[in-house]
Amino acid sequence: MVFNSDVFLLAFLPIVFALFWIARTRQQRYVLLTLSGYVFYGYWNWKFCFLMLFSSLVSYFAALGISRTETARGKRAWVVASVSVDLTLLGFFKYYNFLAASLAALSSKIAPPLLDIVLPIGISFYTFHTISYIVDVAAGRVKAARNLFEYLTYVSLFSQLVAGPIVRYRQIEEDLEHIDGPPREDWIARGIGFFVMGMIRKVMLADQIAAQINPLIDGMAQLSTGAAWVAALGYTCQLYFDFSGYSDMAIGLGYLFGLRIPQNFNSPYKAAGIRDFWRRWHISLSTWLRDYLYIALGGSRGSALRTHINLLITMLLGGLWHGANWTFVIWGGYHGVLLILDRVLEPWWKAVPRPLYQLATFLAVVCGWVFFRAPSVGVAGEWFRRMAGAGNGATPAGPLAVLWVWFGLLAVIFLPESWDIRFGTQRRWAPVYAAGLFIAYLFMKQTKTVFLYYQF
Amino acid sequence: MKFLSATLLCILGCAAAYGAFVYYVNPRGEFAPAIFPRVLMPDREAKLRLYQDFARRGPATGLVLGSSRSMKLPPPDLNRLFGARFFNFGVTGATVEDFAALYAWARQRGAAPRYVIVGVDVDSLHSDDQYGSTLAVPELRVALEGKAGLTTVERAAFALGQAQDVYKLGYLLDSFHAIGLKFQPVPPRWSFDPDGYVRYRLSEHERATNTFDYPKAMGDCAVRYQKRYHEMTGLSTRRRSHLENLVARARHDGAKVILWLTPIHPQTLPDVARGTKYPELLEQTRSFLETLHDRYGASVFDLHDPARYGAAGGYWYDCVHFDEPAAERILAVLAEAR
Repeated sequence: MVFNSDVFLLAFLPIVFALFWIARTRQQRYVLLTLSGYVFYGYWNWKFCFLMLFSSLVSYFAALGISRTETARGKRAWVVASVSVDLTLLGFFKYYNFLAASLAALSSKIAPPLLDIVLPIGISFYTFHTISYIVDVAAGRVKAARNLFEYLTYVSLFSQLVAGPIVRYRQIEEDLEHIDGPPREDWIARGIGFFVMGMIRKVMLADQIAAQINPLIDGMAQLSTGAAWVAALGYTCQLYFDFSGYSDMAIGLGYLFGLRIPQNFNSPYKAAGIRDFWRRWHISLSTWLRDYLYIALGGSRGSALRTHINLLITMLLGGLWHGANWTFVIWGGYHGVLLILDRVLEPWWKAVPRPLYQLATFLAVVCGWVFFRAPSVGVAGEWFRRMAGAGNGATPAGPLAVLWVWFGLLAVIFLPESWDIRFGTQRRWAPVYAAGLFIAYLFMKQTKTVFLYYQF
Repeated sequence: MKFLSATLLCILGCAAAYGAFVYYVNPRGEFAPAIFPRVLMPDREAKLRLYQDFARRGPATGLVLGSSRSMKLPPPDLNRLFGARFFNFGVTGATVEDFAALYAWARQRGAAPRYVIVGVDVDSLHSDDQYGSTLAVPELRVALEGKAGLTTVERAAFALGQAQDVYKLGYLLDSFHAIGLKFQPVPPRWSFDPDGYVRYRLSEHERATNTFDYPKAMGDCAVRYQKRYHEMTGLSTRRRSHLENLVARARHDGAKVILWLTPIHPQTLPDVARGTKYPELLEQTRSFLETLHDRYGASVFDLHDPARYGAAGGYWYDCVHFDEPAAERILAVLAEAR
């Protein structure tokens, strides 16, 4: 199920919302949210609900095991066992065929056979939820949840189940504990505001830009230099509005159910420096990678070389997390190198005027998205050649594509992040939200799309 | 929950005000008011009504089935060449289930075809299996599924589907367009003769006034079809089955079946095929039609490349909609099946 669909907006959401507020006790609400999460997930493929349940139960019982174990060694054993199960599932469903195909490219003798595997939607996200929970319990940052449905609610919360944000248990533990409270008028208003802004970003910006640039990307070999840049800039805008739109909708839905989901974007294309970019883009992922991978590798505690290696490993794995394709690995490695350069050249960057620094950062990010969007390394190479003016492609971008990309860039500059908007909570604002939602709905009905991050 | 109630009330208000607006403007002619010109003619319904009028003067003994790419085959010329009474049932965006539904519907109303000419576009066998347009017309759905009529629930579902179609951006834009037409009239995009033949009135008007943007028409069309073929992964099994059943049924009814592969203008073919499996899909379609020839004796003509039969030189309406001279060339080839 996707947020931008009739079945979600006209059936699922109203029913779950009504039942949630009719339910009075914590347990009733946990059970309802858990069931609704599984219905939401099972609408795509009910069989994979069992996989998610299995993963959730493993981490739930492992956390209880950790809390009952006195020794550090015992706790570590629980963590290793639980995280191994999670990573094995993720590795099998997401990376097995990638590994097999990569080995086959080296030598067919050493390659295992390719399997007909369906990638379960959202597995990357809920696996990171369960891992962070286990590690946090072991580190004493949170207490293990005693109530099974409270924990299942956390993992299967439909608003952030399939495409994030990656919420840590400790970030919503307090709200989960007080989920039986009465509705708060200001939260409901904020929830609607976030949801409407997210819809607008998704269906009125991302989808419209996508309709213009997808044909360009499909016909990359024929593109002129200008058209290749239009495609790259267009995708840059599309990805941002698509994913930040999804995040806004998830945050809005959270508020509607009394749960505060943390911020995931903070005007990333206005960043000065790649480190700043990663503090603003997909914040829940970048902080997850920092806290559970980079720091676990040693972070910046060792030598400069060791720090750089840790950065590179973190970003390579972060890239691979996005998808089983060498393009994502290269994209991750590219950002790893940029992060290293950002650190090494910090004194020099400080002397550069900030707007110039921001522009350089933006262009570096745009180039990275070429790897991210290209279906193969070959297409990415072709795309770069076109952008550099090589090749003999002559197909220009249509005026509408150029117009939409300009519009997207202006929106990037001038449209505020939803977190920066002070959503009116008085009833006089209701017509504004209603009109925004209604217009977005007309756009939504015109083009049926899913969110880009559903594929990860 | 006061804020939520107020918001929901406003949303209902927006929906009601919008509904009243598009009902009043009625851009596609689905409701009672006829104050503004129609922007888009729902051509399936229009063809059904036209055929009923046509059949009052005698049943059709020749049927042209296909998408809008077949609409330009003129029944008077077909009548002369084949000695039958032809009706052109080409409808926009038609896929194979449209052909089957229209044939079944016409047979239910007394058509006794001696010739059935089916224009097969490669994408009429599209793997997407989206049956939206055909199933949106209750009479055609009934004909396709061989039912006696629709149940109350199905009728309600149709009404709901129609209501939902209204709540789309395209419908709103059509409404604005219709209002614009009221104050600055231009001819409709097309109209049909009583025998189903299409006249591209807007394009003809633009040609006459020298405002027809030929490169744009070709370019936009190429982008549209490139997207369509890009999304096509193979030939739909269900649709292959529909076409085979149609041919078998028409042969059983005593009709001669002529299948022809519709053309794409050679100037735009590289753009249309770019990044798609078009050549492979074309080959699969051709091979499938040959199978129908072997099994049922249907005549098959591969006319996908208009350069081969001298139809590429004219002034097409866009990359797939050919003009009258090209239609003449196509008819000359099809006449070999007599």
